[in-house]
Amino acid sequence: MNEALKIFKRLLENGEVNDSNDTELFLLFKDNKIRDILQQFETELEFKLVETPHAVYMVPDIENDVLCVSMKSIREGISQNARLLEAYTQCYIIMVLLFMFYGGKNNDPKQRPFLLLRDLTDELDKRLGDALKWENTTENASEATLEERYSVNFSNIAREWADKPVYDENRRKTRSFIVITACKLLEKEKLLLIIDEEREIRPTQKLDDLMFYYYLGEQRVSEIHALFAKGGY
Amino acid sequence: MYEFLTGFYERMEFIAVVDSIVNRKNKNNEIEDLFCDHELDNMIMSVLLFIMEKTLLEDDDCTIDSISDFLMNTSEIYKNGLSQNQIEMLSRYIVKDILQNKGETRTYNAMDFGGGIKPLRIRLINDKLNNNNKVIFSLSDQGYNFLFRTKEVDKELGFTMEELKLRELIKRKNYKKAVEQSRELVRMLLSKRNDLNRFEHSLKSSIFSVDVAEYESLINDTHGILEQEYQIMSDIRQMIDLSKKHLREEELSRGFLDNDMKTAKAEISAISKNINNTINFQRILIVKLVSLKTVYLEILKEAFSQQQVKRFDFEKEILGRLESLDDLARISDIRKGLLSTLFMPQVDESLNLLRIYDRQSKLRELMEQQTGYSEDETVPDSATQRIERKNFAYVLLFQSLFEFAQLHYEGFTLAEFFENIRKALNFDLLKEDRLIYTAMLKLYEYEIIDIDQWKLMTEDISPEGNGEFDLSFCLYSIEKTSKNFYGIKSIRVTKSDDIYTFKTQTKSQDMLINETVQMNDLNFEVILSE
Repeated sequence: MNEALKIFKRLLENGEVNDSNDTELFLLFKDNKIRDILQQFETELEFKLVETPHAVYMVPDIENDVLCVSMKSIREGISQNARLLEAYTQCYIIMVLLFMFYGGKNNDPKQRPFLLLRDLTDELDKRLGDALKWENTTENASEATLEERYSVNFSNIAREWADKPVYDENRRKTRSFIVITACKLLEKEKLLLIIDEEREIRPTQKLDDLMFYYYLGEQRVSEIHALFAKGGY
Repeated sequence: MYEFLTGFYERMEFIAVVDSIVNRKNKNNEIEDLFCDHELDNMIMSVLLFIMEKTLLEDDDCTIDSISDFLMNTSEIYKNGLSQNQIEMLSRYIVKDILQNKGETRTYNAMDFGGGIKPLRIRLINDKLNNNNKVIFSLSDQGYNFLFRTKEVDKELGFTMEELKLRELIKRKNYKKAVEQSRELVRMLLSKRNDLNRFEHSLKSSIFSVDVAEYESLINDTHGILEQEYQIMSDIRQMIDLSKKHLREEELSRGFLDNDMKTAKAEISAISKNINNTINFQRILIVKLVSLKTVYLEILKEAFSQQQVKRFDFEKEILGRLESLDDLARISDIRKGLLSTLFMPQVDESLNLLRIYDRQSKLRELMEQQTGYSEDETVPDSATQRIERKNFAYVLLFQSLFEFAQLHYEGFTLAEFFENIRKALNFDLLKEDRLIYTAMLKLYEYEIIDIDQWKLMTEDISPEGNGEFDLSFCLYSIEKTSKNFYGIKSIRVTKSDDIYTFKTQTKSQDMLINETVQMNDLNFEVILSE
């Protein structure tokens, strides 16, 4: 029990136990008895243990309010008085970023080892620009099915995005500033490295592992459907 | 069908590489327009050669800055009058957009007359992050193949050619050139080791980025080189020993060494050192190959099971749903749901299970602490200090060991060493957490401190000690005080049958604590540098 608690404690502190920094704990985790105890914790405390060949990660269930990161701290990632649209934009940027890294539809989801921030901004320009173009074509709007259309909220984001300059002396207003802020949130969570004077981003081993071994799994689709159920299509 | 078409697909690789340089994707006209016809092709090729040179030299990290410097220097010859900013933009364009294809895989469709049109993957350079999170570029195997074929001999013959040259040079007593030649051998093995390390790294980060053909060719190439060369290298070593013997005989018969002979002696010694390094490296590579095979098989097994895992369509299920989200108020929950599973767990303060492990105290005391100076704020400081203290202690211990070894190069025991240092001012520090014993036991496990070996493996140094015993960190710190490590080449540690009893006395809060430790004594055998 003591060993299982030690592992649990490290998981709470670091979110992971791996074979390079916590060799002893990682080996302990391989012990079936200890693993059984942790699997009981998993059920009772509503989290998942995501196991990879070199590490084990603690992933709180979506509904878990005790272990999940609180909304307050997510908001702190943007600014003290974050508005909903800002939250929406940031979430969208992060998801486009993840898509650009892991959007492969075959058995090899990882698309690239690094991403230039200007390419991420370009992709956002393209996607949000498409939404504006679409909105301006009334023919599309009337004929589109629910799944095909962009929401009013998204069009608002697209408009705000288009209004933001690429360069401004007040750097906070620029598109690249918004992109880098989203990246910094992931960096803080040890998911991303921002390098080359904020020109380039690379996923950490942790992000690779979580995406491969958990996040992209087909079994999560129902979870995602439920998440959007009340707000999406 | 036609015999001459056998291996056509492999031949096309050369064309594919040239295509990646000449028919550039991700073209940036702003940059392209700065150059006249074919000028940029030349510059890209010269950057590739620069990366090769840096990769082979090993000592220098090839960063975007060093590439910019190189371009700046060569730009003067091109007379294209580029500014510093343009050069920086150009180096990123060449490396990131062209040679690395913005991180995306670049392929070229080539005909395999046995199996139809198949894509060829083009990746001329690899990159990795160094300890300072700077991107370091190196040439890939494909890059080497390409560049060698543009000028140097075929890569497969490379090693043997270098070695044959060396043997012939020694035969002709052309030691000066032989020194250079022997350095070349070490460089080639270093480059092979780098390939293996890089391969292991890519394996661990994503097996999907590695193809089986690359694995097989790397393993077979390295095996080939090692098997062929091991015996010949030992022969060369014998030739060197013979040359040394001749020199000694001549010195004895003449009674002195003239200037030429002195130079020859120094050169032979340098060759001998390089040959020993080469042989050591060959041994290391053999071990590395075995471990790499195990890693590869383990990861391959895991990858097969991962391939069975079905993954959802990210664009449709997440981006599509976000783009059509009507109820803006839901974004908080959606955002939390999408991100919190990737983020670090954060425990509600009131239910923090970690508190179980905190120092227990009365509730009132705890409350007082929380309203006043937070206990948490002091923890990181004391932890850092503790690590620094332990690092210092380990370095101190090893410095004392080297100083003692210098004075007792005939050999000594652990008992003698301990009795000597127990009088030292900082001995209490060494006793703390029993680190003195831990370090000695670790040393016994390592069997030998080999300075030459350590120097070869310098990239494994951890200049930032982590408070745990780290021989590399200790040697790194000692080197700062004594560049030649007190004239010591190596220290070998063996177990003795004698039992050593070590008694210490510690004073803690007016209490006297006696501690007795019994352990097998250790013998230290010292070899001084030549």
